[in-house]
Amino acid sequence: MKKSLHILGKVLSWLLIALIVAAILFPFAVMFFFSLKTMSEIRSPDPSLLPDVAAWENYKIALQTGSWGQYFFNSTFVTVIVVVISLIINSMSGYVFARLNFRFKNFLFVLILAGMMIPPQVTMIPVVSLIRSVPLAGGNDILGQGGSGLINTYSGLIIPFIAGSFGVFLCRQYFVSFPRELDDAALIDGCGRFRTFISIYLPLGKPVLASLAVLKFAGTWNEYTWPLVITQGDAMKTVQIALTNFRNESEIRWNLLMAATLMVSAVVCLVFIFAQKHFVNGILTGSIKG
Amino acid sequence: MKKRLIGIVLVAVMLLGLFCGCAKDDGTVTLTFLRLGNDEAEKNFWLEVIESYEAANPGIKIEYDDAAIGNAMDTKLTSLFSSNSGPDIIGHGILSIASRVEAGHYLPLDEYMQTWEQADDMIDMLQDFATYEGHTYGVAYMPTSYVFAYRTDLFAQAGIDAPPTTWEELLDYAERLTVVENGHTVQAGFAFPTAGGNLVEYDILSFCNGGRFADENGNPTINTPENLEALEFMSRLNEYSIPYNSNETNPFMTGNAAMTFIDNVKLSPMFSDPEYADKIALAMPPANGDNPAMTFSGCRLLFVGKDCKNVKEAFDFITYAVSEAIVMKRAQDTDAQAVLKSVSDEYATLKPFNDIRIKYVENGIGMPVTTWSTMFQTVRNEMVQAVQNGADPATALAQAQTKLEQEIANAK
Amino acid sequence: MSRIVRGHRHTAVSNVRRGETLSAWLMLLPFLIFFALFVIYPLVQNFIYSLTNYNFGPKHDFVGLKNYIQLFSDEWFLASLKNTVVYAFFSVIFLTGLGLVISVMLNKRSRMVKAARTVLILPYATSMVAVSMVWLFLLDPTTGYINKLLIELGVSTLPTWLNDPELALPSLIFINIWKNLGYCMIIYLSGLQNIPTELYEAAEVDGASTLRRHISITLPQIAPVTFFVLITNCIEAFKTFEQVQIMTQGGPMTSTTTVVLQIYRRAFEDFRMGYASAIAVVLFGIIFIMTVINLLLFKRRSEDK
Repeated sequence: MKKSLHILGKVLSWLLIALIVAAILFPFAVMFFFSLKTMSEIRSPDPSLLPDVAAWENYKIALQTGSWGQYFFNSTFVTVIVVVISLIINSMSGYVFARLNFRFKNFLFVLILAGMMIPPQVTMIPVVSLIRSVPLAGGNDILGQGGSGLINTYSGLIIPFIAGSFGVFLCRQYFVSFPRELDDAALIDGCGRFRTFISIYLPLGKPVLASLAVLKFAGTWNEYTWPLVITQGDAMKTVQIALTNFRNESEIRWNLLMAATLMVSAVVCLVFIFAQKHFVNGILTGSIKG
Repeated sequence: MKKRLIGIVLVAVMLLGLFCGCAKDDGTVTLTFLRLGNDEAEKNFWLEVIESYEAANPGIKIEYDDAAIGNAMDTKLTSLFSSNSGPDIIGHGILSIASRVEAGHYLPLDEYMQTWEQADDMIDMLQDFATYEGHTYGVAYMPTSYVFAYRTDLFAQAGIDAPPTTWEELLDYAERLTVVENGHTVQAGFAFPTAGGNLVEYDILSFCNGGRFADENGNPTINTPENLEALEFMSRLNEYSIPYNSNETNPFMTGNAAMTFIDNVKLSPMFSDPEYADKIALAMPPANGDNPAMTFSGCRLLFVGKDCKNVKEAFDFITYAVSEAIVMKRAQDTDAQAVLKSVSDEYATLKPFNDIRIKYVENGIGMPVTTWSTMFQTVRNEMVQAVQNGADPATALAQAQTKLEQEIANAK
Repeated sequence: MSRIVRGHRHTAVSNVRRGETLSAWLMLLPFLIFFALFVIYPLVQNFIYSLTNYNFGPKHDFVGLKNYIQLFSDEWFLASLKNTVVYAFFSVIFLTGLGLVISVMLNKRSRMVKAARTVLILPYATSMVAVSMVWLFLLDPTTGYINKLLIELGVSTLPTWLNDPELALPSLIFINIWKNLGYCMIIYLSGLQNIPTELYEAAEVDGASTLRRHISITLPQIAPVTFFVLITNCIEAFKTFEQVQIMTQGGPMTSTTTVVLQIYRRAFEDFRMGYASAIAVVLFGIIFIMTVINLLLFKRRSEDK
């Protein structure tokens, strides 16, 4: 009885997974098939799901519409810097909130949560003003007037992403479940707080750091509004802005749009595949709380 | 250990400092140009215009940029203007005039217009669009007319030999051209959107019934008998449509509709597709009773932004962009309508149906040039959708008028 | 507030605590600089705007609470609030619950599971703009493949999805869940690695069933991470914008308008930044209160254990 119930549970759970996988794959299959069609096929009254002839050259044409090498470089450069800096400062802050005791800690933590709650649509204007009036940048004087500041620069693209408090919250939630004995042991050994963080929390926190890296990567890579506002012209465009090239006023070039979208998303998928071994089947499992 | 920590902080700060932009100053006048829309043909057209202008005017450099239609343009423009770093020249729709003039984003161009000989050559309707509270703020460069398009092959199959000119004919043809298979409409007689951003198709029906949405004093006039009649007619016409989102592809474009109202430039790909090129035709929209055939015709204009330090040079580029040769080049490259009276005849013979396209500009009505235009859009879309979902047209219209008046009062 | 964040318990090494405050601030410093400039300052600025009639131009007069008072009779705002709450509620329930179940199932080492995980991440790896475009296309009442599939299955009255006031919001919620399941999975999976296997082994010796083991071990152990998933999904759901802007523009009628869509329209279309900021402050207040309630609930539950 119990055994058959167990098998039933297994079957049901696999069914659920299969269903979800199918629901996710279907739209991507449609995207893929459409990326291989010609525009006149898409424009026909009743297009079939599969392309008549697979037009692989769409991928090439998509990449030749604008300077995609530059777009990919811009996005990669900005995203990698954001991820690296975020990993450092967010994990450090997360550790402080999880373990250290100081005045205003609770107040600050609530403030950090609050920082996530304001929609970017209303904070954008003050942030753009700040970016524009960075002293001595982009022709500005010492008071931050006269020039264009960091507008249309990589720094202007990068800085606001670093300020996000999402990663601090994530690391704090993860570190808080570490056993306190870890700290105590380290402190008795004479390690300072920073040393404890570096030598104990960072290595043990690999799963969360890998997750944060993937999430921050995806978030920055997929951001549309901020690069739109802060960049001018083709040279600074990111991949997400460039994707709108296929959505003209006259028509949506579905085949090229789908081809480019799949290529842009593939980068995030690759990062995930590369990173997942760090947060799945963690090698350290069990040893932490031993 | 603290040292290491401080070290990391410093490295982080320095890293960012490294990527600060540096300005160069070599005496040339640099103008930034931000244009609404990212059509490739249009973009290439502008890059060529800029190139030839720069060649003729050494010492002036124009940096081109564009933003996709939808919210991209306004998000970008507003953020930049608010931080005093707006572009010098802006190509944007008429809808933007009132609000941006109130916010001081566009500069008045009256004194420059007086010295410009070609100013009177602009099609009258278009020059009116550029005027707000007695001042001129922009120069029209691209009308965006909605045209009445139909499929000649489907008309022939149904035994109809000419496009409809009255509402009765429109309804009759729509019924005859609708194809239903197994209970699903596979071909719409007349495609009319049921969702999406801007349902101007209803406006065309109203205009062709003598209806208007604002009076001379800039007050909303939604709830009028003409507009009601158009709304009732729309709900009858709707039976021969298939639902689509106006932000998506019009079923007419995929061969699933026999007639529609559609943005002129959206037909370009169809006219250049051998599958459809000789099967589509344009006509003036059918009008009701004795009313003249009118259409919805928006317009894109070139403005000068408030942060511009070289207004004279900026205006000079604008006049270059609407000079006769450039206007004709534009018509050739992008199917855009001509904006000058002096080239109308030449334009009319350039491509098939250009004679009708000119009429569309001359008989086009745009959004009311008021600060409440965008609110009008929202209210009108909701009203049309409510009727399409079964609401009583008279009630919907009355509610829309009340709501808009309330919103205008709130915004004061 | 002191209950919210777990305080430092008394330890045997109090002599080290003297330097603690200094270390804490030093380690926080790099983050706090950015945070203060790019989050706190705009937040304060936003609050100041909400008390004015700022229109991105010369108008910048103090109007007191006028903007807030107007909110209560603004039908668009009230409708958007209702839609947003519904959207957030169902998104959060499914994402937090289904996300956990799936993550537990996929927390294994096998080739099949690895492939399934990668598939789940696909929608999250794709931007909301692209996802919205694709679903707009799939849900098209006439040419969309969802309805074509329904025709094949013999359905006679086809739903018009996003064009139907009754179905539009549920469709948007479904797409949001579809997109963000991968996000939840990433966070849950990293959380699951933190649970000592010894706990499971002990329970297995006791003869507890798989389900029982997950309820008694996984759930409490993963509570801080669950809390994180819940809160972030809730915040993101309340801030939803791009999806609505691309797929429905708030329609049909007001059936899918959301609070942030209203903020956007008031600010960037109507040029009423003051009013838009007031909506943002109210939105902020709502999310804030909900977060604090969740904090307290989770805190209490973890103390019960």
